[in-house]
Amino acid sequence: MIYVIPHQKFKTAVCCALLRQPLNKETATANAVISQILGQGCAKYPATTQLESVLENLYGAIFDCQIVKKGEQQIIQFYFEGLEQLFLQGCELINEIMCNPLIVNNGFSPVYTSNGLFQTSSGITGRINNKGEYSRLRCIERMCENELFGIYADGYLEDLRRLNPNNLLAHYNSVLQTASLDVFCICDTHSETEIRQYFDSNLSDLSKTVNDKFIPPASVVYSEQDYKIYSENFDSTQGKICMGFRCNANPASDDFFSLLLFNELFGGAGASKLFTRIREQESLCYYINSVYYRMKSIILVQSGVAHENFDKVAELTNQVAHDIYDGRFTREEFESAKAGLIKRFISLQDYHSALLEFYTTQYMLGDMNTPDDVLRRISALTPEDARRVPMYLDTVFTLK
Amino acid sequence: MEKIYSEILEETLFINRLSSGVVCYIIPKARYVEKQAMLTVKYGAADRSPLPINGAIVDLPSGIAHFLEHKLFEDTEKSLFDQFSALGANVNAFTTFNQTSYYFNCIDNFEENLKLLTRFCQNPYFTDENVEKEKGIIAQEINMYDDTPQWRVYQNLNVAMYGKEHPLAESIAGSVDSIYGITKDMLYACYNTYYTPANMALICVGELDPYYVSELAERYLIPRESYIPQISFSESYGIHERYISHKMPLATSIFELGFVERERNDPGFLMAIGKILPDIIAGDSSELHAFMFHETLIDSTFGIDYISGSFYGQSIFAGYSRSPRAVSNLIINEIERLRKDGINPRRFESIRRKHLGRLVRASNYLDQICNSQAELFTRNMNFVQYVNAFQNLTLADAQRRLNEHFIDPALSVIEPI
Repeated sequence: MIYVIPHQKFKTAVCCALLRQPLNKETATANAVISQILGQGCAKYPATTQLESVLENLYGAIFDCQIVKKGEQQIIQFYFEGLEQLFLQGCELINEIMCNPLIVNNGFSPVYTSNGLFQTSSGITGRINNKGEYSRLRCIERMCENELFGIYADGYLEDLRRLNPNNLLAHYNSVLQTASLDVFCICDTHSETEIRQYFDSNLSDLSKTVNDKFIPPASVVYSEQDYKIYSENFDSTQGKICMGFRCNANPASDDFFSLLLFNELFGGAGASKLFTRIREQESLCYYINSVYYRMKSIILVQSGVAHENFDKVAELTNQVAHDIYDGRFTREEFESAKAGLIKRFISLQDYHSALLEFYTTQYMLGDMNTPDDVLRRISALTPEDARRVPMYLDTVFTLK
Repeated sequence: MEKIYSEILEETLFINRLSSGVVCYIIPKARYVEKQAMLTVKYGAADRSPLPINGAIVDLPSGIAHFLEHKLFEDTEKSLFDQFSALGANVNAFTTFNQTSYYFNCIDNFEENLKLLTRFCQNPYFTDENVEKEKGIIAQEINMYDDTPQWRVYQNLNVAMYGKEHPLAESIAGSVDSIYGITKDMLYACYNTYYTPANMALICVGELDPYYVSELAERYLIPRESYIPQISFSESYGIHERYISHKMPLATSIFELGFVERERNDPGFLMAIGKILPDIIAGDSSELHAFMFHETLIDSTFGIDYISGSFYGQSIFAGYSRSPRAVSNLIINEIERLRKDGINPRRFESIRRKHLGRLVRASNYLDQICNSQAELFTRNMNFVQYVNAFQNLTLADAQRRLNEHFIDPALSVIEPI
């Protein structure tokens, strides 16, 4: 699928190709290493500094190849952003990188491979360097132990050993056959038809790979029970807490709008109830926020608090969630939340990243609503909508 | 009102010095739905001159500028976050060594939001009670920074570069101990001294009429007399310690290799050449980068930058590494090699071109334009001058700066426990 998002204001254009597969513990690490290998060069630009020099001469165009986890999918993402007039050169570059990698003796280049293995292992061992992010990852891992969402998309150390240039290339060739490949462009000077034609006549390798195979949506697990607590010890000054809520929701239905509203009231905005209650009233933390993972129908709350306050913050957070669910919020809070959501969806058009995020999610969920449709639905929300989707606190993860 | 056009960015900047003394910068951005306004004060964590309070000259605890930033969000009636939120705006603020900035971002109600921003920035409301209440929150913020290796390694680098007594060697937010000594009277003293129109700029970006915005700013920013003490600490250009280390729970060591800035004149030139040179030495397209990457001495966290403020500047090479000393030696040797062999002219042009392209890209985003102009205001510059500085650089400048700037290296390392 090739999808073009037109714009009339940016000075840069984007071409973003997504190779999407269902998350799978067996192949997650190989995919992660492959993204690191491909990002280093290709048959056309084999020398180690060549690709970077090409980008420099394209006025500092940005190219990267990385793993993205979205719902229960593992995505190898190829991203190019450069000045508008360089858009087609960006598409060509992605074509080269994705379809014509540097091959030596039926395998990826040994140099690229050893670099890729090291980068992947360094990323995995380096998770603990960021305590907040580490806590988020561990909370997801424990909470979704038996679901695909619990798999690390950036790989596992123990799986690196069995990877080599040859089996990695063989795996990549099968990925190109089986994965869904979608290309999203944000561009002003070329229409969707022109871009499609250009791909067909000039980028035949990429063009023939483009396909939108069905990937099943993420599982929604919902069976209310008392929350589980996991903790780990580090020698940290501040404790980190991550709390996972499960929502009984279908992400492509009206549940989406209800959860947007719920989360905006909860901890999704600057003046949300969690911020007011736990920071402003209790002075327990500096930051606390909640993020709604639409593709997986969960909400994660994160904060940094003193070790002795873990229980208090978990209880208060759970209490705030219940308060909203029971309708204990003011008309003013409701109107502010709605205004915040409206602003967010109008503002999409000012940011490449927000546009990409919106359109790729809609596409993956088969949701045909445009930003205008979404805005209409948000405008029609009532306070009752915040209480429509049942949810419960499933997991609390703390790091000392 | 002054009007300046940048051909490279294809943007127009309007500058108006208001009768209050505030400098107003307006950058109209057609077809953008968001609008952003930032009020910035040339007062930051490094401004620690003792001030008169109730007849005595009082030393001020570290972290006071940042504390003041938090407490300015205090209103007699109701939470300012809620007031902005009701107007459909997000509001936030940040403090650096040199500046404190307050900003909002909205789609509608620009005038109302601007009125609210300028009102709260001109009407402090500190009580013993609200000052006490904030200490717990800021203590958690400080603890968060203490656990962040990037902050710790940078702070230690400053200790190595400038010595323990220098304001840059202290964390911007202060320490848990220092902030507990902050009182309402100290906050008023700092506010009254530094938050004066002559020390402020207002930056507005979005689909805005510059004359209309300028009129609003004229109406809402009120003149006030002021005396601003000059920063008084001795400047020293030597490195205090060559190597400083610390331990934290980490997977691998994190390091910052820094070179201190010795020049003060022509900040535009220093910033532009400052961005380009480290990129020539060890940027993504350099042979050195490829070598270190392949030898598994650096990973994707490796980065380079030139950081500067009104009284300091530093080139920094940083990242996680299994052997910071090896990386440091390789970088120092590469600088030595470039001094001897000379910088390749094609490479110089290519890196300059990259940076110009990145500046164009940054002008896609209202917040980046705003932040960049706020920072440049502290250097008495605007972003058109900044972009021009990149164009005016010559290879000879780069070669000369290799000799003059990259002299005393300081290495800060945090090792795993």
